[in-house]
Amino acid sequence: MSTPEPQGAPGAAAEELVLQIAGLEKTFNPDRPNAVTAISGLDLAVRPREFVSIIGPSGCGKSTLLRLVGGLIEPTAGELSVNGRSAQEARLARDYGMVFQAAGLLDWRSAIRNVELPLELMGWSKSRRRARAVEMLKLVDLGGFDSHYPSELSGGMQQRVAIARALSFEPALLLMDEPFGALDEMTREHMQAELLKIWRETATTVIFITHSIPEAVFLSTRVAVMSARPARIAAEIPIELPERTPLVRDTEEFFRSVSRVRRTLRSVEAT
Amino acid sequence: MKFLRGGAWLPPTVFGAAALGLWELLLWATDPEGFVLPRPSEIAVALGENISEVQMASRVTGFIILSGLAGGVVLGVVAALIVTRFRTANETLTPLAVAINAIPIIALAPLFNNWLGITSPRSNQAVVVLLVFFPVFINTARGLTEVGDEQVELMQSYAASDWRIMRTVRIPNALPFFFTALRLVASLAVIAAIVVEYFGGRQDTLGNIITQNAQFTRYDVAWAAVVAGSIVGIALYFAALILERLVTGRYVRATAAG
Ligand SMILES: Nc1ncnc2c1ncn2[C@@H]1O[C@H](COP(=O)(O)OP(=O)(O)OP(=O)(O)O)[C@@H](O)[C@H]1O
Ligand SMILES: [Mg+2]
Repeated sequence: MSTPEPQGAPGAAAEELVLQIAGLEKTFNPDRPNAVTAISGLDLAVRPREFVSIIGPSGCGKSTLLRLVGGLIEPTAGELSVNGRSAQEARLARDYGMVFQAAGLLDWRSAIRNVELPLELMGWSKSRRRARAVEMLKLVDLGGFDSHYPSELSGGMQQRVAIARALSFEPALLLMDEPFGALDEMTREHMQAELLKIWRETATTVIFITHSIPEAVFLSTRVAVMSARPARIAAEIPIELPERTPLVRDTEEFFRSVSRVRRTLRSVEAT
Repeated sequence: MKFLRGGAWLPPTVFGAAALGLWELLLWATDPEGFVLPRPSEIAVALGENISEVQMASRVTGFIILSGLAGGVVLGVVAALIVTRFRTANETLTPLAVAINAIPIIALAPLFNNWLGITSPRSNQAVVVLLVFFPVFINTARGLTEVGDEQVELMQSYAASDWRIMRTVRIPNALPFFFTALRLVASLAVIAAIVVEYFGGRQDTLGNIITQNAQFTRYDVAWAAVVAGSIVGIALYFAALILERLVTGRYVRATAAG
């Protein structure tokens, strides 16, 4: 159960993996009295077009793992490759669309100009990026809020702008850190459906951090359960659902998967 | 520009007029000889009688104020950009700046007069530049560095260069900090320029009009020069305010409203 081998892909060659992590370790402030080893001995492999959710106790190192994968911080030890390249190279090749725990909008830019930001950096023409940003804001149900500034939007609306921004350029790898945490239940379900639709329609691979077990089960092809700090992947649970529509939430399979993840999480937190 | 229209002007204007009226009335009743303080009407008359002299002096002192202000602002912004760009510069320069800022710079005016020549405008400008530099430097540097971690990480995830992050995140973030400092130093520069003139130098300056006339108990003329200095200060303050609204535009109004 704790093997890093992706389910259904025995012996998959390294080149076929989007993400390959082996023996990853991250210690903050090494050699100092306040050193914290957030991650130690973490293995994970993700194949193209997978939707992997990561779930684990609070403060165990989920955000840290995402920042390592995104090439924003350097690991202390271990191997990490993205499409056969280093995380740094992948970052410089703009492979990533990141959504952080905090929305991280630029306060002085209107909603639409926030969505346009990555497109601007990628050199899209003004008319093309405007058209895409309009489309993306509609997708996250913020059609009428183009010219609103972040200070004029609620926390959940800001988070949706951040999601629209991450999706706008169809990144090869979507890294999402509790993106729906600030949303109410209805908006959350709607956003989940939209994310699944985008995931299905594009070639995107998603790594998705969440605290919600039903959310992880509903969205993912696989749920990775992290142990308490120093974190590693303690278990991986493949999710097989007959379909991914709202109705599936009431099915036997859904409940079985939810309770399986819950039991695993509980056993991890107990140790 | 909403802030330039009606509404906002009325209360301060009414208040100012009332204060002047009260001042006039109170002194007329208690100090008719004008030993302590001339009445506003007397100051107005003195200003009218000496208008050409005060105007000339305003021009001379105004030039010191404007050039010193411009120099100090440019230096402060450049230093802040350098300090933000290079972390080691930040670690050495910022404590140094704070230490130097603790020196009462106006008190150094006589020394500057010795170094740069008492009649040269350079010594006056130097004091104004120094005084303007620190608030601008410290505020701007704060605005450039106090940006959200996730905003910087987001830009990095898009492979944005440090310079691009500076342009897209740090500089816009620093604008409100910078303009707060600019409004502050607009008034500070006027004070500094006039006080430096108290220590001597050219005759045709506002500071000199004030000291000379105070010496010969022509307080009404001294006050006329003070009024001229105030007008310069108020004009500079509003110029800074207008510039701020022009540059930060709608974003400021959005934050103010929400
Ligand atoms: N920049 C940093 N410097 C020092 N320690 C850090 C830093 N970032 C994270 N840590 C530590 O690493 C550990 C893991 O943090 P992380 O944010 O990855 O947890 P998390 O699993 O995302 O938590 P949550 O579920 O609450 O978001 C924590 O103990 C935290 O204190
Ligand atoms: Mg986190």
